[in-house]
Amino acid sequence: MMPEEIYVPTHLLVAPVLIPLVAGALMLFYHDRYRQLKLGLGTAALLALLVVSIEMISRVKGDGGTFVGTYLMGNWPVPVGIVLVLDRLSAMMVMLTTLLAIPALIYAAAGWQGKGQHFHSLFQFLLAGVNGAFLTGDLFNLFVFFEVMLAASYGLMLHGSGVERIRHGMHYIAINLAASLLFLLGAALVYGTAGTLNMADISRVVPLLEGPQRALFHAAACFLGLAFLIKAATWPLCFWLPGTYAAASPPAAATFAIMTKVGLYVILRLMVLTFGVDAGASAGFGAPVLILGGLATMAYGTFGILGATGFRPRAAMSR
Amino acid sequence: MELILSIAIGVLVGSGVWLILRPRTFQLIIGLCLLAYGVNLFIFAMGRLYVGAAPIMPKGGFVDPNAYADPLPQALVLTAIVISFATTALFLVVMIASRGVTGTDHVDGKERDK
Repeated sequence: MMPEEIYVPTHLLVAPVLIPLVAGALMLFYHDRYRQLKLGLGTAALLALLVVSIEMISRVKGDGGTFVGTYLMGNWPVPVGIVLVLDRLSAMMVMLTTLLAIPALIYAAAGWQGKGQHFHSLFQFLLAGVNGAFLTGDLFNLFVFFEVMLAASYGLMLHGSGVERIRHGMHYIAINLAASLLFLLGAALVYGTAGTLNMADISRVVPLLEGPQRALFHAAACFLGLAFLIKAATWPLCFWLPGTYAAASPPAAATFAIMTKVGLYVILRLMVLTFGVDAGASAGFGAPVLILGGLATMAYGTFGILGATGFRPRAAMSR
Repeated sequence: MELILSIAIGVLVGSGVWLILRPRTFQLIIGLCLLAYGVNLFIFAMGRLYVGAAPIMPKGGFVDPNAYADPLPQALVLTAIVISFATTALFLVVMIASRGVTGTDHVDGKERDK
């Protein structure tokens, strides 16, 4: 690692995961008729999250060198234990999540919160998963947070019920389960070749790989890339998204907008870490695919918006 | 042993992929289960194959790592099993709800030729 990076252990890092998790769990103690109470709890949690994310951003802003905060979960030494990592990108993404969640929750208070069971709890669990995915520095822990996020999103997707929603929800769940299995395959292959799941450690090991190990590592990267491109809805892996997001209830769909960004964020992070300029023979692996995919997705989205016949499909396409 | 394990994973994943491309929800869920089994076995194999080696090392002193199985993939596979079990149960509920409201077990909620 670069010498100018400063490592400061701070308990603040775990707050964006804990706050929504505790708030969501607390709400489960109350029956759904105490909706206003749940709304109050949810708003309080979001405000706390906002304060935490502002504090995190102002800490990583730093002066000059890159500030990286780490938090050892369970206090195990780094390559063995799970670590949370805070840098500018993850701090910004956590803040973005909070800023998106606040209006979505306020809008849900206008009526959508009453259309089904446990809207507020699921909403908070979704935020816990998203924030965890942004902050974690461990590939397998990322999978766990991804699943927390997805499990909550399945519930939110079906919030409000109805034939359309259940039909699209089933497609959504099936596709995400398959993508999660690809993610697992990729993570296992990374462990089999690099011998570690810590993202920083992987980037250290990549230049040292040789021969068949490197080829297998590239295969692992392809598996992971495929899984994240499905979740990020990059063309041609995006056909599940428009229908699903158009069918979901509006506040849920608004929050889902951050979930495709989780996929993109992970691709960005892993690309820079593992196939950056220091990666030796692997530098820039897969970059042309990502560029072409991104361009095709933009084209698909643009024509989709132009061709959409209603406001809901149009909003769904703009993701 | 490597050959048998890789054939087993191949058969599981192959049948799983075929099944999730079928139009019935029951085939879909069985396919996802088989895929999950295949992937779990694969994670397990990524820790290299050992026979008769415990994954827990004694505390203190020098231990020969070759005499012990890698504990990490076993922990990973445990987590993966739990998660895939939970998501499959969730999917089952959605499947039943879909069967209830659409009256068909087609994944699109309606038969093709109607």
